[in-house]
Amino acid sequence: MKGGAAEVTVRVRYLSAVREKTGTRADDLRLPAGSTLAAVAGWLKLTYGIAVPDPSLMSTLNGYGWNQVPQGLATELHDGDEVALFPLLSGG
Amino acid sequence: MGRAAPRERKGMLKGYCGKVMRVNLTTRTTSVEPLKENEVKQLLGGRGIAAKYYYDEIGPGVDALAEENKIFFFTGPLTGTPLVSTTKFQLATKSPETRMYLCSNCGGDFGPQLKQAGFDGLIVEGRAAELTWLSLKDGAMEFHDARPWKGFTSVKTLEEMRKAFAETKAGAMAIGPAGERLVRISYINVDERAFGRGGPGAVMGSKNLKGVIVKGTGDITLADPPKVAEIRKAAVADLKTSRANHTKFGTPQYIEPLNTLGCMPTRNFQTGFFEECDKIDAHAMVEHYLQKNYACYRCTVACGKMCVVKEGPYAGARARTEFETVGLLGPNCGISDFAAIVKANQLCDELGMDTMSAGNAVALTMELFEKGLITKKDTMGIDARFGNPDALLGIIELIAARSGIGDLLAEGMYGVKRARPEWKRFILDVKGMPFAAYDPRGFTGNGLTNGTSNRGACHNVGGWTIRAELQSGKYDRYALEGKGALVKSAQDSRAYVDSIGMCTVVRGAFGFSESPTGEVLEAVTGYPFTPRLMEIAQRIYSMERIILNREGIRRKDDLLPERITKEALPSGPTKGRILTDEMYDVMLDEYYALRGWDSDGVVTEATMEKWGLKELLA
Repeated sequence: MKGGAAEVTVRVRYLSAVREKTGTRADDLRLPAGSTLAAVAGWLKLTYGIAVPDPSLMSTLNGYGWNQVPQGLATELHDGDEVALFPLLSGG
Repeated sequence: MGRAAPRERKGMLKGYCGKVMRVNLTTRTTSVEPLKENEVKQLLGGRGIAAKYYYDEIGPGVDALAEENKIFFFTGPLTGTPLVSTTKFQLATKSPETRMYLCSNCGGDFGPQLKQAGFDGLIVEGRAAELTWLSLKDGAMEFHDARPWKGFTSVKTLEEMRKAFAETKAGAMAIGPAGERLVRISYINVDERAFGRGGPGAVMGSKNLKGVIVKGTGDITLADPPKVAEIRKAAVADLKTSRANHTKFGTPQYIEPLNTLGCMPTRNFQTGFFEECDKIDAHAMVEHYLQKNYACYRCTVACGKMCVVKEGPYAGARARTEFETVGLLGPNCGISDFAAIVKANQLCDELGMDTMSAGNAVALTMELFEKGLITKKDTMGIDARFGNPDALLGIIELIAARSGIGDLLAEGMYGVKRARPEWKRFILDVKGMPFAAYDPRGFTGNGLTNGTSNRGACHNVGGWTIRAELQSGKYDRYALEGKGALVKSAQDSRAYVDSIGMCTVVRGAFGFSESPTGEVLEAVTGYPFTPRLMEIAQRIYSMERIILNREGIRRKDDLLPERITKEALPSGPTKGRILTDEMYDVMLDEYYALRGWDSDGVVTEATMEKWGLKELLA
């Protein structure tokens, strides 16, 4: 269910081996408007014990690495944003 | 019965045998020559030494399928040592697919066994009068009649050789019928691993060489055995956690992330997102198809995934399925049936063809067919639409049989473009080598990787950058700044890893990064290689470029295909992304400057001087 003006909905997807830890493909988080990426990080730690950012895990916001987002954890989230977590990639 | 004495040449660095076996198939003779220690100190082994032999012995005018071409197989100092995954060896040859220098690396048991037989390298030259196989037991090479095996699959040939040779744990390589028919995308099956890219199977085919098997009983002398044991113990512990996902899912674990990032080649790179990815990802594989893990020599990770189809039209199919294979035989051909991918993988293995080049060839055929540029007359009645598993299998068979359009596809993309230049805009290659399973419109650095790889489009030799482009915080995946340096650094670290004889999957546990650390090479060889590794790597990379320059390669050959530079991705997470020629030129200029090559991609005199190449190549 989409959030109203007072809140935003962010989809968090768990790809590949990360899904082993969460047991689900994705969660839809409803967060107060103005929430930042730090809120997602806090929720992940609390819910699944997954620490993000973590050098042994890859994390993206709308296809950009969390490290690439200029405001980092202080980045404000918007309705429909998508976070993805997946194992470290290396050449296939 | 005890093990034989160490076989290294007196005075040689430890970890090496100091000897190279040369086989002439024309004269049915062999000779043994020394490995030069001064060259080893400058080029390490494996890829570096093989390239030096190629430079010395394969002139620019040599045709890949002519008797004058040779295959240089070389191990590295770590190959066969009691560490982890010391399985790798390299080849250099003139590529039938790209018509230029080819380097390729491979796992399996062959490299370690060659070393234990007393040789760092094996050079195959000439052409046998009849189909032949070779056996090497320690120092004794024998020639055998392979005519009864004509037309045998590569898998069957390996079985027959093992039966006839009757030695346990031998390393073996063989070609299939595609190699015999000089299909230019033929591979060499090595203990169910592969020298996959560039068509080396056709070189063996042109030499009437069906297979080689080797068994060694000697030891490899180490400079500091207790230190080697200590390093191994620490690495095994590290890999247990750092590569746990590889053990469980293998490289197919990348399918879902790459698709989510909008970089999964789909329907001949027409887009970067495959809508049915959940049917072919690592979870689908493990749940429905995984039979067992496969481990190379002394590997504790065991990332190979042997998949078996249990039911349906492809029941009984089995293959060791990797990310690249799934990507290029799957989404790139519009295929969402994992069972069909396993079957196509098996078919390629048996016929003896590279799954990556085959996937690109099938995808090209499907696009041409859907656009009405070819018809069922060309495809021998096959309804070659994207997503049709029977078409996937049928076109692979056409290529191996050189039948219908398969005869043209068997010439590789280089041959297709020359015969049908109007199809160029549908062909995804650089220098005749088809793309791996990444769309560079989603990662600009990956575009430079493909363009400047020394064997044509290749994600490994070209320097794999995607993690750094996404995770390091130094780069924007779509930007251009710094990508020249990033790609160069990744290429260099790969060049030395390809020269030491260890698998890249475990390199991190030994300190083999862009800033190498650790003492493993010192413990094995007794020579201080580690601080010199990046210098050695840059020497190797520019030496290979000198070879390419000699073969006519210039800036124009480093450019990307039209689909990448002129067509924006139409859908998915990377919708609208493109890597134009103008964007690419920015990265290429930075890259050439950092390499010390001129603006046309030619290695300068100063760079030759800097890396000691004038003297080395004199």
